[in-house]
Amino acid sequence: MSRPGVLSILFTAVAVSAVGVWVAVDELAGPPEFLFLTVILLTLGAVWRLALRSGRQAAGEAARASRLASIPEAEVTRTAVAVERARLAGDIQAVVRSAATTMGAAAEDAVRHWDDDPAPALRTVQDLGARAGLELRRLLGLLREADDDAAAQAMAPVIPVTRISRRDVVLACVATVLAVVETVASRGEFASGESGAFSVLLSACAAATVVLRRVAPDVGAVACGLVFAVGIWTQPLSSGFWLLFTPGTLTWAAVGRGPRGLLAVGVLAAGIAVELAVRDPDNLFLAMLTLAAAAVGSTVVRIAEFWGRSARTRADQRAAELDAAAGTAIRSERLAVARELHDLVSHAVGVMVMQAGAALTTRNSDPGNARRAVDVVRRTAAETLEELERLLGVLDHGVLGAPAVGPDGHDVPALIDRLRSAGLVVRLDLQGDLTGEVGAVVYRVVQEALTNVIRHAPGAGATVRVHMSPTGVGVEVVDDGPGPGAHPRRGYGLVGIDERVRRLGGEFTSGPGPGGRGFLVRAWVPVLVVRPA
Amino acid sequence: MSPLVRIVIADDHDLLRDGVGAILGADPGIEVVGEASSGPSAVAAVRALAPDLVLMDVEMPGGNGLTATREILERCPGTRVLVLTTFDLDEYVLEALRLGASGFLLKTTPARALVESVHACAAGEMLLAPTVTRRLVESYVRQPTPPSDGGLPPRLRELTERELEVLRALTRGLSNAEIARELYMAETTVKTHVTHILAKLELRDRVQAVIVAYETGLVRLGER
Repeated sequence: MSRPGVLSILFTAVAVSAVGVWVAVDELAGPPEFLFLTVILLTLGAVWRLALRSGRQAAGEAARASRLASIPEAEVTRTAVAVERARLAGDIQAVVRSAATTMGAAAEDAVRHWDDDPAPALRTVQDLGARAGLELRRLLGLLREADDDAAAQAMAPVIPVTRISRRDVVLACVATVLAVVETVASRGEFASGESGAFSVLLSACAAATVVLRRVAPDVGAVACGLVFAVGIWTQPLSSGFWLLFTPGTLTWAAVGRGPRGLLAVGVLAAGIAVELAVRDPDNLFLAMLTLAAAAVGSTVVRIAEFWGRSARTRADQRAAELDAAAGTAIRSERLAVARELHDLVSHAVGVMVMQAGAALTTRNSDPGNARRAVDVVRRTAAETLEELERLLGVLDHGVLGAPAVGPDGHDVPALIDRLRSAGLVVRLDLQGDLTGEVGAVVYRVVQEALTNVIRHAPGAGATVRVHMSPTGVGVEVVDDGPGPGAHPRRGYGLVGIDERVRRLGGEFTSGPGPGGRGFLVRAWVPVLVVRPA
Repeated sequence: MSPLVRIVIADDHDLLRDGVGAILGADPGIEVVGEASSGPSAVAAVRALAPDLVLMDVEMPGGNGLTATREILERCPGTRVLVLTTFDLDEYVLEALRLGASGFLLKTTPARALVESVHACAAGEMLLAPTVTRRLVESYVRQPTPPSDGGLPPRLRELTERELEVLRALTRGLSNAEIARELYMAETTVKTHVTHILAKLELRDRVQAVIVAYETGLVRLGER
């Protein structure tokens, strides 16, 4: 059993026995007093528990809000991006590999059937390419649609209750019946003739006002107070459970309705107080205690609820912010991945589709050219698979998978380590401390240059030099591979880096290494970045 | 038979350019008059040859495919630009469409569709799928400003009621035939309306007309 459960039972036991002891000691008290006091004490206990529970819930929400507030956005986006990259890199690799394999096979098929009818096989190449393109776009999230419609359904506003529910009616009926029964039963307590049929009617009316507890508790409280006022000059209302129940419930509800509610509670309390003072002073204290308990309890619970609600709103807002930040980071990351894979994909899939199309359209008019086109498809398929093989280590070691958000100069040694474990021989000459945007650019330069070494100069070793001066940071990556002769086309990645360096006011060159050997990438980024206003 | 479409292909990747050239060159309605492997050479080729259409790889190194697109669209009013791309909806593609390109083609488009698209584009009838339009518009016309008086946007006031209906249909990615069916008019009438809309709005293409419709708030995102 839970701790609050044990506490409640303990409280109940103590309360009941205390009342029992009091009733036993006091000669004037009997079973009705015992029942009455027990109910009151238990009700107070319930109110106390309710207040405690709302307080605990509110504290929980507040804790969640402050925990969420303390999570740095950068960390969330960084994790999201890393996860996304790992997923993407693997998936994209699989799609390109499967496309290259099947398209290459279809091209072989076309060659085999060259003399009868290569057209079906060539169409297959095109279809496979189109499908791979579609699949890649889907992976990169470029095909999503209607994805943010769901977000438009914001939190539904709290609609005030405008109709009296069946529950309220039942409650009012119970209170009224209780009032009638108690009035009839307690007739003897008043001087003969003083309490009569009108007492029953008044008590019933006053009890019935509880029906308004949710729709308009202020109106209910005022009405109830006025009925009591009528009792001052006509016949007395009876005391009993109903007397605590209806005013207590209305007070509880009206306290939450602002100044009007408080005013209404005042009217109610005044009506009851005067009526009881005149007619039934013995019960005055208990009635006032009940109203006070209801007012205080309700206030405490409402404050706790308000606190909890605002904490929850804060927490939800923050959670949404973090989600949005992660979402934005993931989207831009997808584009970054799309760029990195651009060479691979458009070299591979695009060329194969177009050349297959060329073979298909020119096979009658220019059979020689058509046949050459098919050979390009076969060769491209084979080259793509080879390149994937070379990239495998890189992809698996998370080089392409390194986060675009957040990496800075400090991550350069880790990057080099990853590449070394992917089999690349790298010498690193790094002095000083790289930070900020400049550090991030240096990271990108090194990453792109070394990835290219693995791609285009398999087996080659590379040297990375990063040297800092008061004015800027220079970075140089040179490999001892065959040089750019085999790949005169500048990769898309290097172009991106070039743009980035220049945006920072730096300089970028790439081309043959010293003495025409190897490939050299060199960048210089000024430390003081002066942006045009 | 539609008139011969003269095109220039600009792509820095030789094998891809060759493939596209061979496919398009084999079509009797298309003449490949020039090829270029960079943005600047594409601009030069277009200025010298004044083709009907340029197939432009906007992903060429240096982003100069975009620069070239802008220059061509500004200086050569008779030439349409059709963007070649690996990934549609890439920001470069969106930028090119904003600059006034007539549409885009994926590099994985099969030969027959490639030829058809070139003809459609040359005839000014290139269509964007509604989802593409949506994304395009979303990306830069976040909140179209509807006219404050609740009337028509000033830019569209010259259009007749019928033309506005056609324009609204265009925004939904409908073809001329579909618009004709929906608005109970002849297809040639639709063509005439589209021509008038483009002339009045000083636009080159229906794709651009769709953009204007969104931009001016004539139609809004989510409206069908």
